[in-house]
Amino acid sequence: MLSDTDRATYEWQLDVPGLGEDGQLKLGATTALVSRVGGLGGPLAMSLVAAGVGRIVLVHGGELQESDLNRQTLMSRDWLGRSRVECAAETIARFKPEIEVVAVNENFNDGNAAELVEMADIVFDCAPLFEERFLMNRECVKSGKPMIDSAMYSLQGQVMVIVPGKTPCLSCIYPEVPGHWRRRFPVIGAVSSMVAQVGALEGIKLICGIGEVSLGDLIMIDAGRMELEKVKLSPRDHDCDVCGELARR
Amino acid sequence: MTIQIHYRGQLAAAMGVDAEKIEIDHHSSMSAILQDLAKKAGPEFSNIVLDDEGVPRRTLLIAVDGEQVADYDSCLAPGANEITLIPPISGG
Ligand SMILES: [Zn+2]
Repeated sequence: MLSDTDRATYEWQLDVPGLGEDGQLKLGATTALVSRVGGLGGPLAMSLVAAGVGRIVLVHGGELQESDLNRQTLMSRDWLGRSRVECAAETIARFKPEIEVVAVNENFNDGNAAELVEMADIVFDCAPLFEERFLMNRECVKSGKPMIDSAMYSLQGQVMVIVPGKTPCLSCIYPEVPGHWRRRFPVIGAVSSMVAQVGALEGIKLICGIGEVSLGDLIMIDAGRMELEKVKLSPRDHDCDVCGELARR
Repeated sequence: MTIQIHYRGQLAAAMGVDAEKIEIDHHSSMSAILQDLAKKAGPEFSNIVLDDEGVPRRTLLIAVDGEQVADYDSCLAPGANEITLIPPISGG
C-alpha cells in the first residue's frame, strides 16, 4: 500500500489512466540502473526518480569537466573536478532524500558488468562507447532483464527497447563495433534531455504496464524537423552472438 | 524509378543534404544503390556506409518505408517510396 507521503507526492500521476496505485507500487519496487549519467543519463535518471522508482544505481566513471556543462544538468559548475557520479547522486538525494541511490564511480567493464546488472530490474543504457553498451546488452540478455538503449547525434536521437526473448537485442542491429564511429559528436543539451525523456517514458510504461511500449521498433527523434518516427526492426537474428540462442528456442 | 532518400546522423553532413530524391533502376540491389551513393558522395560517406571491400557495413541500418531491410542483396519492392539510411549513434 502507498504511504500517505507517496499518495501526496504522486497525486497527479496516479490519475494517469492505467497507472494508479498498482503502477506506483511497481515503480516503488523497481531498481533501475542508469549508465552513464551525462547528458542523456542524468535527466533520464532524474525523471525515473521523480516518477517514483524505489532504488537507483548510477554508473559513471571520471570527473566533471567544463565541456560537460552544456548538457549534464545534474552537475554544477562549482563541482568541476569532482566525481560525476557522486555529483549526480547528490543532486538526486537533494531532490528526493528518501530514495536509495547506489553510486558506482566506474564505467561498465568486463569485470563489473554481471554484478552491476544483477543489482537491477531494468537497465537504461546511456553510454557512449559501444563496448560498454554491448556488455550491458549481453548481461541483460543473459539474465532476461529489459534494457532501454538511448543514443543521440546533433539534433537527432534514437531509443530502442530491448526485452530479451521478445525483441531484437543491441547486437542484432549492431553485430560489431562500428569501424568509423568517433567518440566525440555534436550535441545540444536540450536534445539529449529530449531523447532521455523518451527513454525514461518507455521504461516507466514497461514497468507499470501502461500505454504501448515500442517493442521491436527503433524510435527515431528528429529535433531538426521536430518529428518522431519508428522503424520496424527485422525479427531477432537467429545468428546473433548474444541473443541468437534465445531466438532459436 | 524515383525514390526519396533520407540521410540520418553523420550521413547528412557527409552527403551535404539530409534528404533528396534519386533515380534508381528498380532491379538494383540495396548494395548497388549504396555503392552508387558512395561514389557520388565521396570518402567520408563511403567510410560510414561501406567497409574496406566496398561491402555495406553490418552496423548500418536501412529502412524502406519504415521497415528495416536486413538483406542488402535484395531489390526494392516496386511500390517503395523512401529509403532511410541510419548509421550507428551512441549516448553520452
Ligand atoms: Zn541479438
